[in-house]
Amino acid sequence: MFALTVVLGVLIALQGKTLKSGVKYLSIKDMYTQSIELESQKSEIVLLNAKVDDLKKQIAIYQTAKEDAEIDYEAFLISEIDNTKAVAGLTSLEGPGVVIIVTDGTRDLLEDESPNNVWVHDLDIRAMVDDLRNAGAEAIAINGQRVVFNKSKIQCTGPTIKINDQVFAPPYVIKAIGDRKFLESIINAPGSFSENLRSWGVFVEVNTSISVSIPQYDGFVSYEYVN
Amino acid sequence: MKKKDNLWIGAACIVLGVFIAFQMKFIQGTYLNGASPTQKTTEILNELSAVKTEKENLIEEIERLEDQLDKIQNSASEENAIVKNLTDELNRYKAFTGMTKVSGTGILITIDNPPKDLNIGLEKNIAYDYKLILDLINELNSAGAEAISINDQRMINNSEVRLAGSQVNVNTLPISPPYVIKAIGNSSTLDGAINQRFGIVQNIQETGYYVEVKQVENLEIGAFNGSLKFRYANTVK
Repeated sequence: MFALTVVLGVLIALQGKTLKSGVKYLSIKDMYTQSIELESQKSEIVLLNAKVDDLKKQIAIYQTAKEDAEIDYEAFLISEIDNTKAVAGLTSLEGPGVVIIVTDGTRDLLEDESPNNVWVHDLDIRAMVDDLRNAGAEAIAINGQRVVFNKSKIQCTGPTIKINDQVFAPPYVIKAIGDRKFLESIINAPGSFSENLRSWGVFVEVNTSISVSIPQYDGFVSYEYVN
Repeated sequence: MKKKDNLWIGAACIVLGVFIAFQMKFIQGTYLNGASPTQKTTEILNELSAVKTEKENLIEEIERLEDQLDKIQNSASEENAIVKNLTDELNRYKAFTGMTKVSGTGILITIDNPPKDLNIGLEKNIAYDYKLILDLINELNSAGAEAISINDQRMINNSEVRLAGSQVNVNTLPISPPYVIKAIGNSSTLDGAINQRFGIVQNIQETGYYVEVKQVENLEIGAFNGSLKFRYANTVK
């Protein structure tokens, strides 16, 4: 009995001490949510730091271009315009890459099977474009239409697909500029979307090329909602 | 009380004690990485407040730097009319690429993991279903979105959304849930397109994630932060 009272006394003293030292209590569950919050805040800091670095770099570039008498500020602006245009997809490009051919499957259908299973859909083309972007494609074109994010709409129009407001029927030829090995493997790798397509019976073929040429985007550019 | 009963109670206490010890050890090993609960709590809370102040400082610095850059460009334009025209042209192309801040009406989509249930070992992570996010973005583009961002990362021509470890990378930077997707465009068209029956929002919900779509009168989408350089593609004149 005496021993128990002593232990209790020691415990109460310890408890009092920890409370005094500013330790807060959280349930394990709360602690877990807090640690997730911490992780997301940290990743946000990484993003903000990247932005600060980029702004500093830009300021330095503009500052030297403006102040250094040997650098022509106008010529510098023109080269910036050319770079931005190229990145925007407003110039024709050429470089190493891949040429992919996608067309409807030719296998026999099972009884009662929908022919939808062997057709190429707008969703398939979009997913392949996503895969190519993830593999680091610098420029993508489908049947000679440059694919530009936000501007190119790849939409189903019955048996055909509309790309940049022009209608195309299979076969679809997708060209992409980038690292040939990466681009080829994203189409052939197990787990890729194209592998999925092939299992349905859709024909997908990829060839690498030293020089792929991709036309410029020539759609009409206007904003209705963006200020 | 018989002596035998005492023995049984003693044995039960020992077994119970061992179980409690195991439980403590398990919690310490899995969720606390070996630290005691109080140590870990203080650590997390301190770090969190430090990170928050750092974030505020960074946002302030960004505003200051943006001002500075604007001033340099404006002072150059004032000196020379040709420079002014060129700067305007540059800004037009930058807007096309997504390198400028934009605002307008649109929709705000929040996607998050379902609430954590520690009793079930399995946890669902939207990062592993990043293809749903890609589908959602495709639907938004198809419905006429004019600018899109995920967690303030502006989506542009070369933006990727891909799984890296247990996180999703956008513009090569890691983002973590909740994913906040902003899209500027006709808000009712955008909302309707993704909220269609058997549409993408329903698809994400049925996979087990939390989705909320809101139409917003005035939405602001930041500029793309990085700098772009082609490594493979060459311009054809």
